[in-house]
Amino acid sequence: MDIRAYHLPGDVPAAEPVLEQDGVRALAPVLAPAHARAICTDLIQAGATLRGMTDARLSGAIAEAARRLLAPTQAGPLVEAIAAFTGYSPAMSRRVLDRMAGDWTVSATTRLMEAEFGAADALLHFSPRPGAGRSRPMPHRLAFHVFAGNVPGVSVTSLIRSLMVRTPVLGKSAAGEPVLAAAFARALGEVDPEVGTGVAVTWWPGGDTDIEAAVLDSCDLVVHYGGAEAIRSLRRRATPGMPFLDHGPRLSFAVAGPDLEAADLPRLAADVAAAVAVFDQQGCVSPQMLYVIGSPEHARRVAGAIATELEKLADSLPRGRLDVGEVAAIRELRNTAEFRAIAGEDVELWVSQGMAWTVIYDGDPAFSGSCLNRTLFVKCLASLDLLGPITRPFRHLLQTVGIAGFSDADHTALRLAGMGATRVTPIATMPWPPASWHHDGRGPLVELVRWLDVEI
Amino acid sequence: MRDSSDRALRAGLADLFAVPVDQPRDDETFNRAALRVFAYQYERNAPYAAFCGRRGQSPATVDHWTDIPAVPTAAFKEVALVAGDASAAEAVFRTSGTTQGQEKRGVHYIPDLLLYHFALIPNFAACVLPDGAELPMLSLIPPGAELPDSSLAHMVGVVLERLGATGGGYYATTDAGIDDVGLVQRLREAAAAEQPVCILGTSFSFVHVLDRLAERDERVALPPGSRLMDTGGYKGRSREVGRDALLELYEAFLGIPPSHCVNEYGMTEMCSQFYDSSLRDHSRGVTRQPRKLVPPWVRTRVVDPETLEPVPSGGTGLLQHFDLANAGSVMAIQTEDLGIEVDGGFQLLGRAPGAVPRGCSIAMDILLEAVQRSPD
Repeated sequence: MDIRAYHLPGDVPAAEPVLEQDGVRALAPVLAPAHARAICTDLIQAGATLRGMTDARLSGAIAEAARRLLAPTQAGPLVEAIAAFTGYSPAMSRRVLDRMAGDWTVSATTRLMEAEFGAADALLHFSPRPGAGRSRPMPHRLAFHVFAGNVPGVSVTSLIRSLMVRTPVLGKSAAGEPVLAAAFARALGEVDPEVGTGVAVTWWPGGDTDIEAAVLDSCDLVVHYGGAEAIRSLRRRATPGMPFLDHGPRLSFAVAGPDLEAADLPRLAADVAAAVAVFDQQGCVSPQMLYVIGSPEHARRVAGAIATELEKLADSLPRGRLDVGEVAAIRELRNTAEFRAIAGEDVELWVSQGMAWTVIYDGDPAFSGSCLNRTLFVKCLASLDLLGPITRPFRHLLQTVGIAGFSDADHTALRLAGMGATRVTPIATMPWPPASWHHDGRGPLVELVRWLDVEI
Repeated sequence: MRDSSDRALRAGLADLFAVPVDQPRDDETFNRAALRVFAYQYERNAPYAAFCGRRGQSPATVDHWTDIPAVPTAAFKEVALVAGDASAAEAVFRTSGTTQGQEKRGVHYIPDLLLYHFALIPNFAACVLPDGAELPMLSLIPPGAELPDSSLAHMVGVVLERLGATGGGYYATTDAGIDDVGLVQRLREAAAAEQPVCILGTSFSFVHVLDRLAERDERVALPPGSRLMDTGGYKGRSREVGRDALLELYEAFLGIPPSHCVNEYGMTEMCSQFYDSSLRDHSRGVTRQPRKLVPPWVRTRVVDPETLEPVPSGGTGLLQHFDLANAGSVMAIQTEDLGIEVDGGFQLLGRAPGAVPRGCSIAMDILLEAVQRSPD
């Protein structure tokens, strides 16, 4: 199957297969730096139109485009392509698409605008600042967004945010998921051609310095999702002082608190298992471990119950493709755990047939990174305070903490924030932050604009 | 291995070690010996018995060597895998660890070095000295006395002592490193005297010597019949050189042609080694891509990384070794080395790569690095 992996304005070379995986070919033109410059110029021109649009027009077009993506004729091939490139199972790809698209609604974008700017259409006029004149959020001329492939849909959310602040955007897809953002941009162009001219999406090999130099030359904001090395590389090449928002690798985990009742255990186990299974733990929001506040016996029971739930999900939401390195990493983790148990250490191991999932109860509370792909460490602590020293080395990398069994959520959240967390949520919702979330502790929209203050 | 059953087991194995390496495989004999060794290990090696028990396997359930549970090399880091008393081992070899630094090292207890030597000597002779040559052995690896943990240093020491002609010696110490000046002088003497030699070292140590020669724009034309045995990877050292490039350098700087360069693949966890077929093939007039030869007392399978079931013939997978010379520890070893089965042996492709994280998911090594960097 061939699928378009671009939505570009102007004259570009004919599309050709640029990526292929499991029988799906992604088509895109091979761009020269001159094409990239021309695309940027077109986008910048489209900015003038965007700047006059109301929130209602933008959110209406976005919602309609999302709805079209989910129509069976569109969604079928899209899910197939997402599954091929990401390696996620078709069931997972479908679940992620449905769940993400559910956030691309008029009400969600309206809520987001109001949460961020206090009112609708805030970009269309000045707002008084008592005692300090007036201010107005100003769009950038052009934003350059670089996407990661591990969580399909984040790319679309990113495009939507740029549009809502009237900033034309060039999105560069990841080889790991080159189709969804392009499909959305294209649908948007069909729904509302004027809105569509504000978005361009395509794929080229990341790190192509000639093309990226042309884009960096034209844009004045970069938003980069991805690995640390890719981010470092692009940041080095960006104009000094240019706003550069990176969403690099982050660590998330879950904590089961002291107030859990025995009756809560099945729900806890199901929630943890689902949070581990979604994105096969490849999301920065995915829990790598569960800390259980309580006795070792309790923690072992919890671990066993999670294993049972992961086994159910192995059927209903199967794990995706693994490469040989990922398999080797899981095997090594299992081997080490098994022989620590044989050596008499306080370790217990639950594994699937094959490599579907792994749960390791480890009596040593010290940090153990998971190798992902549904590999969960369950550790036990006498109190939440003991977590501080354990997480201290990676406090800058900490992101989501999913909690259950804490009677005072605010108090717990503040303690976790002291350890570096930027998001505290029920375990069940760990993989699904709301559209308005402060990703890595930042304002979803206010970071994407420049504020103009007028003190006259 | 000191009681009467130990002696009986060893006597039973001795016959297998005496079989010439090219003899057609006798699976029945191997199987009988393997089942005996398995029963012996199951009885005396408690962690291994526990490992088998977790898989529902025991000498009562296994009737073919392919069903003997293979222990992952990672296990050697966690438990003493020895048949009998670890404190009575004649030798204790440890893995060198990796660039990660403070991680645990694997420990291989060798209750009985005699078995190790049984496996080492005929195999080395068959693969590195197939023409029956008696050569001075020049080692780029420090003497075993300086590196008591190193199975490689022990192995080279035995080769020098048992198979080397006079005039051999060590050209490395743990303190001073590789004595490349002394080595080159010795090589020049050998060239002048038209005395072929055999050089032994790690690939990295050879690269070091070649770099020094290149810096000084020196070359040595060793006499025909000279050869070398190199082993191992680079483990994160400064310079990595591909096999073909290395073979060219050996010929250019030392005058040793590819036919006389024998790569060894060994591991701390195994008493037996594997050698390239290159020199043995050459001496018998066989032309083929070199492969690692499997000695008669070893079986190697290529298994699927996910299921650990054998891959279809010619497929890539993880190497699983069944080494009767490991009778004193654990015979069935699951490696993390990738390979392909070929006629008469296997091609070694190297260690399975680590998991590469996708997008913004975080890799364990970033986290471990953060933990190690932390002053707390």
